[in-house]
Amino acid sequence: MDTQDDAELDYLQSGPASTSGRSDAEQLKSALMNEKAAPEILQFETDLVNRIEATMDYQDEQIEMLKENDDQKLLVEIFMSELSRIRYLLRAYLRVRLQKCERHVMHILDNADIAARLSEREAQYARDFFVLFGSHMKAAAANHMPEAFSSLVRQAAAHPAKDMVPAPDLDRHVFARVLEDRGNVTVDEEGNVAEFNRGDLFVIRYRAVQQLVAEGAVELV
Amino acid sequence: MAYCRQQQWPCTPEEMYFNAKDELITIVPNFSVPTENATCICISGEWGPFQPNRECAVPLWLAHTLWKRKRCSIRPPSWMAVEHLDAVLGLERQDASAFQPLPSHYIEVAHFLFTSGTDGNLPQEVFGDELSRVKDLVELVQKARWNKIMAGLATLQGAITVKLNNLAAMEINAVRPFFLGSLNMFYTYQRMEEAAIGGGSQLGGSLAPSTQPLQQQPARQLRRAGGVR
Repeated sequence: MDTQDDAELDYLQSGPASTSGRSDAEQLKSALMNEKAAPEILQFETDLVNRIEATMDYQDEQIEMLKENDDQKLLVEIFMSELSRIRYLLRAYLRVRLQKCERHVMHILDNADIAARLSEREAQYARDFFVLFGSHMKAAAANHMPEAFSSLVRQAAAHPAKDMVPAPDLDRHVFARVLEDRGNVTVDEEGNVAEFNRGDLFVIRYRAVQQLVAEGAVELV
Repeated sequence: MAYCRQQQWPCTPEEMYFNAKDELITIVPNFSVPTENATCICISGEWGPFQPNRECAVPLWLAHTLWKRKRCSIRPPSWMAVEHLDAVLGLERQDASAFQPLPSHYIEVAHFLFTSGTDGNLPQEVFGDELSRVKDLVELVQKARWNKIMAGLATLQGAITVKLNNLAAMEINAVRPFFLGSLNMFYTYQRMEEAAIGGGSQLGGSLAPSTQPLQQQPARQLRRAGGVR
């Protein structure tokens, strides 16, 4: 837990130097913004979520203990309002990830390394959703079409590749803020480079910063 | 409908306000907390020390909670001093290509300080006599920056990487759909052009139509989810 001094003049350095100096709440907010802006699903922050859930439970207990003491009302109110804020962030994070699961469920289940980014419960959700979605689509539409065209993943049975799977578009542009100096980085296929210094804000294709986002050197806004 | 909205606006303005409430602001409490160090240990950090008539820095949501219960008074942030805003406005007007450094949630914080606490007159308390001057200055700074953004958008010609430092969160959110959407379309057109050029040169090279095996191209190019999904 950090104590913030001289906050008035610190607005220019409002971002921390590295992720290790941030509080859990800030990390959660950053993870939420990344998930909202990125076209594909990112790695689930298991440790962070577990720590936050544990802290929230502890805070709940604190509130219960303090409630019995009548002259601590102010502290109770402070704790409760903060708890509701953190709870909102956590819920929003989990909701965004579930939405992405639903949108690209076939793509996720087909690729093992993307499926590895889900938490266990999300993976179970994706599998259940796929079964329900698949059976509904089959019953409503696919089974009424000629045999050769009734697949959910191929345009026609003659095509060996699964070309009807909705996949995330990694070439969408995003706003990216650089958290660590990374020098020159290639930004497109022609080999153009841009210099990534801490605090820079770029509008860039997601594919160019995909790796950096996964490493935590760049955050999406 | 929810999906479409998500694509256009990852962050609603209400969510921007929520994020802005984590910005720090100085308060002078009139109470003290009976804990070790007189601080308040919350999930997001240790705030305090809360001692009567001693300044401390807390997040905006905490300051608002305390102010509503009349437990503190709020000091204006240093960047909202008249001289500082004057200087920033001058620099914004001079330098047509760069944005001046301002807190990334300056619009939300300013809006909060000017409008909330309608039953207790927060703005008057915080700024005193300079209230209208500060309001004007913030609005002028906002307008100057917005004009710069519009001018920059007008010069967009292709799918390029753009560097814009010091853009505020609200400004990013306001241009997000148009900016990103137009860059995405530029990129799509660029790819279509390259594909067309590539296909044309193949046909020119041989008399027989190119015998590409079915595996390499789908029979129908499906409309990919650029803006819909």
